[in-house]
Amino acid sequence: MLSVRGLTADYGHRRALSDINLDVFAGEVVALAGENGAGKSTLVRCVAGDLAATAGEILIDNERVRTDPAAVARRGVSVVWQDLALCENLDVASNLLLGREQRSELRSDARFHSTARSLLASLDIPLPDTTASVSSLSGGQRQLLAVARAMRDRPRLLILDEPTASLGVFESRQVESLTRRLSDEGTTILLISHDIDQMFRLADRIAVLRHGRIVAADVPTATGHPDEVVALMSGQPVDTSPRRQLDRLHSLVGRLTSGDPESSLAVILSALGTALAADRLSIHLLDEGRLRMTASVGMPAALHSAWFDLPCAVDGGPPGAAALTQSTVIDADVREAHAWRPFRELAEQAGIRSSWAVPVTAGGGLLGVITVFRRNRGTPHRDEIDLVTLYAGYAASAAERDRLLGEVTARNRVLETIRVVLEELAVSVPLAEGLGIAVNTLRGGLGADTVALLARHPDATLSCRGWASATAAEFSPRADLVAAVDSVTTRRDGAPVLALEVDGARLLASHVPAPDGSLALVATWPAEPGRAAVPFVDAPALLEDAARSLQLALERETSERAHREAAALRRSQDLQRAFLSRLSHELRTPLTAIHGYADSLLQTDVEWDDESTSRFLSRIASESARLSRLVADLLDLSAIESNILRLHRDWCDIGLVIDAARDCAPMSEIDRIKLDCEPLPAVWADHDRIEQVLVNLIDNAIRHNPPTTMVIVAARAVGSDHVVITVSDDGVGMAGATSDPSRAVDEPPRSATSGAGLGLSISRAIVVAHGGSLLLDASELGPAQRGTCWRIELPVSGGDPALTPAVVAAADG
Amino acid sequence: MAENTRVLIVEDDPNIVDLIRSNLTVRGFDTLVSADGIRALSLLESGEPDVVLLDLMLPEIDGMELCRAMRERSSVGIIVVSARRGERDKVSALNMGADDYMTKPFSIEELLARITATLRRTRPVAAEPAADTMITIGDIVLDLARRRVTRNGDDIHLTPTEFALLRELAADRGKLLSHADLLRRVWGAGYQTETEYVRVYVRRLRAKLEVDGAPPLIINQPRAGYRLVDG
Repeated sequence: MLSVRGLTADYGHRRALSDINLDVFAGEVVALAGENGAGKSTLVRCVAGDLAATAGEILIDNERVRTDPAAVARRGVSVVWQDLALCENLDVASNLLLGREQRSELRSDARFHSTARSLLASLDIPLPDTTASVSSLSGGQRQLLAVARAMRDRPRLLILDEPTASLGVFESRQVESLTRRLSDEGTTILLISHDIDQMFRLADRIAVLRHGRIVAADVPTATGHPDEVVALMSGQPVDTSPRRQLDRLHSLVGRLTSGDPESSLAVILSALGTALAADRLSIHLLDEGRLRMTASVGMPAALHSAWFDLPCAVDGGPPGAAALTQSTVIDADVREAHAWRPFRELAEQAGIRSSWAVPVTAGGGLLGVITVFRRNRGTPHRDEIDLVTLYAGYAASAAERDRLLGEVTARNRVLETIRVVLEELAVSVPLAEGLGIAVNTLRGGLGADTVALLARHPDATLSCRGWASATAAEFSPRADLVAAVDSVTTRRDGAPVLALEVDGARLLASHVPAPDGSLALVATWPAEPGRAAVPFVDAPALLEDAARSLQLALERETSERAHREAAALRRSQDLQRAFLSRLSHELRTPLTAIHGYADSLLQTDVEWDDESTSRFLSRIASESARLSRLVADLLDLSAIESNILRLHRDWCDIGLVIDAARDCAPMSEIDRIKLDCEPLPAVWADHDRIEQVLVNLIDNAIRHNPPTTMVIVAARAVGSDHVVITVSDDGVGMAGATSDPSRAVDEPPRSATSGAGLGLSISRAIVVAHGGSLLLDASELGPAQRGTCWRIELPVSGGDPALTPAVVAAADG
Repeated sequence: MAENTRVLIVEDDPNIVDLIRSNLTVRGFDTLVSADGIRALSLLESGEPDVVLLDLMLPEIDGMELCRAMRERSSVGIIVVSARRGERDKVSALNMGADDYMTKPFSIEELLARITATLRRTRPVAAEPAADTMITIGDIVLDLARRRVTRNGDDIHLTPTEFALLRELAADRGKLLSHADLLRRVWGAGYQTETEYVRVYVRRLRAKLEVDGAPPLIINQPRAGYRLVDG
């Protein structure tokens, strides 16, 4: 259906795609995977005829297509772009049938909507109201609508560019099920997605792009593994990925637990007692060089406690002797037996006359000892000893299995932990939080005292990127850790995990290959004399795996940050462009009116009546005034931005400033402005500038509200050193977005007649230059919370550090 | 020309509206006014204007989108009015289906001249040449009298400006027509330097007329002009 042959595309000097070869066969769903900037969107743009390739060709049904979106569309290719091209102001039906309104069957309104409804119904899309405005739809509904529009002309190849990137889980599922349905109906689909699991849910195979090249054209989703795709996308090997190791261990646990029902040592022991008609038996297992009684039958309490822990030596009684010699010790008479000497009295009290101690061995090593106590003296029969030896074999395998299971469970616990770590890091929680959670779960899983991710700085100090501790104590990287971290971060000998003892703690450290190169993941356990430095055998490998997952997370974070920064830069450039374009509009509109009215009056082919002439002249005057205000505002703004706004200060009577500001309002509006001023101290300020601020706020309140709106300007003293002026109205209120005057410059108001965006920024800058603040203050509104209230707070000193309180007091008096 | 001519003014600044309307009314034009996109689209249907003056900088709607929406609904002449002078803005507006592009500030003469030129192109005068009114180019038939273009009997929808350009190319078939020739013949006097107009409209024509894989109908002679294939 679609063949891309040797496609190469450039943006200026930057190569975006190199030698891409890709085939999409009819009826397939092919997903295109790749990290940000890998070239996915560029490839889609080329296929859609939106971008000319530098080399190579695109064939649809073996015929070359030109770089022309319309030609591509005629060949049955339809694209749903990531930024949907829906008309906000139109309804569902108009968006759906945009461009087809000329067709005669769509001329009537009723047929227009019924056509739209039946199209939606045929795609099983739940948008019953085709007269609803697109702006009222949810993100998911918009996406469904965009897909429906793309499906309107029944394309054979549908390209979906990140169809669920901005959708929630439920909405994503709706779009996914629509995609699946379209595929079931025979539409060939090329899916671009960030969501690897989604690709596995929807696609037949996945092509992976990295750095503008296809690194794998054919990862089948039926047999492939998401890890493979991640690895191909990032170029990182994942052979030791924890997910794989987890899979491996899960199967090991499965094999072990699906064997015979677990027979415990106690069960084996009591079975042996029955077989021998012996009512007292014990089994000791070897643990760190000593014999610990693991199970017993009918042991008298005194002997039980004395025998609970025995040395592997002659003074360890018969078990000790048997362990020492690794052979069966038969004591026919406890009174004479050398091994019984330390316990002879206990034996007499318990009525024990003779005993046999049989070693339990496995793989040539001693595991423990089974002891059988008899009430009569004498040696056992040969077959009785054979029976004990047989049961010792059972006991050996049971003990081995217990040990293995215990170990597997420990490993499993750690791997489960790592899985949690990965999940925590895979969702896009902020890295700092994610690290905290991950490190803490890792600590729990490893059973460690402390786990910390340490960064080593060039000045040989350490700082903590994330840590977790079993105790509440703050983790402080000790000086002696520096050497450990140094050695692990600089090791290049292929042994990425270092085990050592530092200041009474056992420590494992693994290097985390991070962009800045010197991060170490460190876990500590309390030191126990006589125990191995490594707390359990898998700990180093697991720490290394965890370090690798952290590395992936850190890299992801870095690339996401770069992406965000680029997006922010783009956004600020867009805003700047929008601002300039709006500013140009604001300047040219009065200029156009002035020029046009003057030009009209100069026309020789028409006669203007007196009314028109005087209207033109008065509009020329008002537009000139508007233009000069705008120019003055721009000059102010540029003075503010280059920090050269000059204030001509004097001791001001704020009451007079407010009166003057009100008098600047149009005569017809003066009655709408009410003043409410308490006696105020004089303020060290620029009278004209403060008046400018008030004129601007009053003007906004009048112009942006209905004619019945009242504006109240109030002023009061706060303490002896501040004055608060409020300008409030009971009008329609402001959208939250414009409440911060600092944003008004970036996001100019939509109304072309206002220019208020500049005014607000300038007002704020003037107030700030006086050491004060200009804020929206909802608390000053009436109980109905209607309207807008601006609150200006000015320090009496005008923010001038040269003014001491004494000077202020003198001026005040 | 002004009689029975209705101009739809889409502009949100009341003074500019008053300025344009005064100058058009005094010369006998009818005017319709809309300050927003939705009303503009409904006036386009109900008011049947002959030409639209569309300001790109409207509150609440992207003027370019509105231009496209209008072009999708109607073949009315659209003159875009913009404060932006960049070539890019001009080309995007033409790509969106505008017939002409005028920057602010403009003189009254310019306003009237552009309206007149656009009307001349988009509104046919009654007397069409009687002879040789059918021109055949491959499987495309150009019916000058009926202003229809068909391929194998199927209508190809062309806007009046697209049709005028094709008609001029067809009239001198096989002959190279310079940008200036085409601008003068299609857009009128005063447009000689607007070479983007020709480029954008040739591209629009090609998109509608040429078939994938088939040899091109309109030949580009770089820096010189265009010609329609002969025979």
